Amino acid sequence: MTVKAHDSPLRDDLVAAIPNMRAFAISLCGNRDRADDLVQEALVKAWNHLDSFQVGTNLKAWLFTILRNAYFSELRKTKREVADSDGLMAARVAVPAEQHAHLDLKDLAKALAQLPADQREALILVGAEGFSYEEAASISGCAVGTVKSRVNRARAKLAQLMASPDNDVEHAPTEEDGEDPPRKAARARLASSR
Amino acid sequence: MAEDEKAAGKRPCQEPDMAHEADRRAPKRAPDQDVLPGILGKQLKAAYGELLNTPIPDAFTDLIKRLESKEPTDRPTKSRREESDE
Repeated sequence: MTVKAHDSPLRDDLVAAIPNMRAFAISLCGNRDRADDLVQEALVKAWNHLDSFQVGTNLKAWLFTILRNAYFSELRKTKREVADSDGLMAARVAVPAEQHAHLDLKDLAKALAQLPADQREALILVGAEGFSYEEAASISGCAVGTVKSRVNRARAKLAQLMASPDNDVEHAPTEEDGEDPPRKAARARLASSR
Repeated sequence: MAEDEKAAGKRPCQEPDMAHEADRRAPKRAPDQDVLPGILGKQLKAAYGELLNTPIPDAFTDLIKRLESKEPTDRPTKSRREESDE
């Protein structure tokens, strides 16, 4: 069935998903301008391929798939694994710093930015956007188990980063797309056993 | 079926199968606290929620208007170039 964007409630659903796409993109790449470019690119792609969207399936997941593919293909081109943290949440989050004196949101943004992109993606999809592991797996094009292990590693690393007083001790190496190097894992174990 | 088998003989004692129970009761959606426990999870949610509530820049409504005026699904995709030309 061909879907025309005009006379379809899909158009409204698509517009309604824009805030989520932006939040995801900003969290993913850490820079608002880059994020907005990505979202616009994804919207244009989605619009032009609306006929390939299966009505009745999850539109937001479909849009997120297009968006993350745009991000990761850009990432491969630029080899820019670590996100910027300047635009990420930090500046505009309204939670007063005093209420969370021991855990500043800027630290969270900074720590998030230091995660490998695939782990950051998994954490945001499941932990912030609220997708199920299954949905996240289908968005990221990987196995459910992979999403789970990415989330676990992201969580461990985040906790480790947040625990260190000055949270840039661990600069995420650029090629750390897959497994944590054993050395690093060992250090994490050491840190968590204290 | 596999369960019957288990219940029938493979397990000597009748401990409640916690893993199975959790599995059956778990909603499809992952519970937040499982993903990122404690204050870290709350802050991630808070920060993300704040982003969600940020008003959409005009560029997006403009983009949608442009797209709507173009009969997109009937045309070959040359979106990016068209978009930047306008």
